[in-house]
Amino acid sequence: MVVIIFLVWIFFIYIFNKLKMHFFKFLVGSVGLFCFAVYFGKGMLVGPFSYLVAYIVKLFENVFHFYKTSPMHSVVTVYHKQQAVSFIIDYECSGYIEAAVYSSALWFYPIYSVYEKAFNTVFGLVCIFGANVIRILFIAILVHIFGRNVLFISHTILARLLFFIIMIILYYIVFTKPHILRQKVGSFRYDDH
Amino acid sequence: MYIQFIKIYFCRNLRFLLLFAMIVLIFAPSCVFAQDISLDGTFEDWGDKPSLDDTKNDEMKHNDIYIVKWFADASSKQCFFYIERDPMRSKNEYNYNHVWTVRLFFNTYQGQKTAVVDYNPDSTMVEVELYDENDRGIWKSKGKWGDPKDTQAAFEFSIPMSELIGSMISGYEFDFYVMSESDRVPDQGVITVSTVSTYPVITAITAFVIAVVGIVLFKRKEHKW
Repeated sequence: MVVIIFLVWIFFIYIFNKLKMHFFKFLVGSVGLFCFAVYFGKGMLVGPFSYLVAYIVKLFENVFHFYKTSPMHSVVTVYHKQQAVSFIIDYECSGYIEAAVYSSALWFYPIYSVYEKAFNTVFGLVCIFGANVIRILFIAILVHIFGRNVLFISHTILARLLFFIIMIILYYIVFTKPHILRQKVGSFRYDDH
Repeated sequence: MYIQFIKIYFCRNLRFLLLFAMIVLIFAPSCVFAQDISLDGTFEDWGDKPSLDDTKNDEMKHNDIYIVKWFADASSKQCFFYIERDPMRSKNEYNYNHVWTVRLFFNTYQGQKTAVVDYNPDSTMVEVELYDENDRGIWKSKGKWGDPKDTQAAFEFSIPMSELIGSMISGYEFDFYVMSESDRVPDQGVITVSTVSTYPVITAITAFVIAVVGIVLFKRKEHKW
C-alpha cells in the first residue's frame, strides 16, 4: 500500500513538474515527503534525534548542576529542593516533526539550487536542534528556580513561545528573506546591492 | 550573488557539515545500545535512570527509604520503579525479615491511583496491586524482583503505563510520591514525570503557511530566477 502511494506521489510530482505547476509540485511534494519522513522516520530517526538533544543538554550539566541527563533514555531530571521533575524527550519533544516539515518544505521550494538546499538543510537542522536544547534548558532553569508548579506555564506557554519565535526566525531567513533579496523591480535587485 | 555566496560559504563550511554528519552517525547508533530494565532482582540496569535520594536516618531503620528510582519506558510501555531502604546488617534484625509494604500515590490525568507493594525479603517476592481512586483493584502483578543479596535492601517492579496514564502517544504527565510505614519520598512535594512537547502541529502548520505564502508571492511576481 505504501509503495503504491509512493508511486502515485512520484507520478503527481512528475506531472506537475512537466506542466510547470510549481505551486502544486511544492504542495504535493512537500506534504508527501513530510508524510513519508514521519511514517518511515518515526521508528528509525526519532530515537537518534531524542538521543542527540539529550546528549547536547547533558553537555551543559557542568554549567548547570541542578539536573541530570540520561541521553541513552532521553530523560532530563531537574531537582528543586527535595523534589524531582523528569522530562522525557519523546517523539513530540525531539524536534523530529519540525525537522521533517522544514526539510520537506525546503527540498520542494523552487528558489534554491541543490547546493543551497543541502546547506540550508544542515543549517536548519542545527537551528532546530539548538532551539530545542534552549527550550529544554529554559524549562529546566525555571523548574529548578520556581519548582514543579511552574512546569505547566514554562512548558506550555513560555518555552513554547521561545521555540516558536526561533522557528519563525529560521523560516523567515530561509524561506522569506531570499524571496525579498531576489525580487526584481525593473532591473533592480536587492541581491545585487 | 547570493547563490555564489552560499556556494562559497557551503564549501568553506564543508568541515562543519561533515562534523555534523559525523555527530549524527556516531551518536545515532548509540541509542540502540540503551540498556532497558529487566525485572530480575539485579539492579545494574538502574545506573543511569532518574533517581531521588532521601534523607538517611530520618525514620526507623527498616522503614527508612534511601533512594527511589523511576523510568517510564516508551518501548516496553512500562513505568519501572526501584526502591531501596536502609540495608539489613545481620540476619537477626527482626523487622527486616517481615514483609515490607510501600505505597506509591499517583496523581494522573485519569485521577488518583495507589500502588500497594509488598516486598518479602525472604523469598525476594514482590507483589504489586494498583487501585483507582475508589479503591478498586485495577491491576496486579508479582515476581521475584527483590534483592537476593544479604542486605535485602532493594526491589524493583513495573506498572503498565496504560494503567497509570492511558495512552503514551500524545504526551503525558503524572506525579507520585512513595510512602513506607513512616517515611515519605520526597519529604515534601512530589516526583513528576512528564513529556515536554514542542507542540509540533502548531509550529508545522505555521511553518508550512510561511512557505506557501512565499511560493504564492513568488508566482504572483512571476520572476525568473
